[in-house]
Amino acid sequence: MTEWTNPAKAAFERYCSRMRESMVNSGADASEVIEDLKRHIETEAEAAQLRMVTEEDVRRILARIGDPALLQEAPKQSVVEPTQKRPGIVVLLFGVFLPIAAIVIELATHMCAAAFFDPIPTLWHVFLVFLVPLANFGAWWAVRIGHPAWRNRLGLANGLAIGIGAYYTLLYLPLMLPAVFALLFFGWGLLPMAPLFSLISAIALRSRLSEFGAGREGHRLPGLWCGLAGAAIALAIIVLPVPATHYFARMAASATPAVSSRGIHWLRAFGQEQTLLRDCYGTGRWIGENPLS
Amino acid sequence: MSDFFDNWTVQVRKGLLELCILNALAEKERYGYELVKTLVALQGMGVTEGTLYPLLSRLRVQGLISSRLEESSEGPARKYYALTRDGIRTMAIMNDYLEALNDGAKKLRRKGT
Repeated sequence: MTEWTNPAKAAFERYCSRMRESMVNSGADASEVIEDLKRHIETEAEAAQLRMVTEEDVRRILARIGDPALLQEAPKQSVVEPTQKRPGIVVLLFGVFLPIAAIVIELATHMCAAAFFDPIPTLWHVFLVFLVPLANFGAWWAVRIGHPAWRNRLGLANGLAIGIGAYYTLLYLPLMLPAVFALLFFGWGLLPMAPLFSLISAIALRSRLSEFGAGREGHRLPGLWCGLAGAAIALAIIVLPVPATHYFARMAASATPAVSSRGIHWLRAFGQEQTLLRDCYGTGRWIGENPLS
Repeated sequence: MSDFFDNWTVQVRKGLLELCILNALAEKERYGYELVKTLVALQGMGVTEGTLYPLLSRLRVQGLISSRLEESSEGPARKYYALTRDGIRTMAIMNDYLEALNDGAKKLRRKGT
């Protein structure tokens, strides 16, 4: 343990009293800073293997560590300005709950598949469409609680959601107008609007995410183009096997033996069993797989 | 011109110092002496120990960092500093903000040349 001479203690005290005055408006705890500085001097003395700290040592160390009076005054405002508009419950309702309800109802009743077309013919489609409310919820939650560390990842997920949402909005476009009329006159028909609403919500959330964590000037949110490209690739991988299977099935049914043989070969290699089963047995999907049917 | 640059660097350093402290604590907790020496050695920062301790105290008072004392066999007790949850969040916001600001300045520079 290093000891201090009385003149050393007095020199340090003088320094501390000067420092106390300079720290009145600094926002720091003066007593804590004095303790820290004392500990710093003792550590320096230990490092220099001094058994006794003299006034000269204190002056030398204090001269080197500088004057805390140079410390600027504490800023009046915090660095973080929570002035950003936060997404409300409406976005949560239309961007998360409505698409989830639409997916679950379609899975349970096959309403759209029976009457018009099958929007989620495979489990991969279900996985993909579930990404939309999931990404929307992630963005909504991150902005609500103020978690900027996820901003870039959520930007990518949001791009993916916009891509998938746009595809399903186009798919449901022919049903939109009847759905609007049904909604206005009968009070039902919200489910076909779910892709459009979730797309609008995703776009709105992207704007919130862009402002989020980048100061008032805003900062371009990364991930839109990557997300859109990811959605396009995923949709291509999931959607293309269906028309391809139809094409190969037509080839297999050809009267020309060579074409038929080639069709069967391609069907075996790339054909989708579920698509063939659905074509044979109507709307039944994921025979033996669907947990909700 | 030199005076202008010196004044400008003082302003920049003042603004960056708190972020440097938070970033220095991002990976792991550090004891005060080690932290201060690291920051003093930071090239271009031109900061002294005397100005860092009050800043550490201010950040602790603001709840962005926490501190704890631990006895050391090598000398006086060590005061360890770590980021709080609020500190982690604020550090991320500050880093994003600085990055955006820097990107903007770079874009202007490209347009200007």
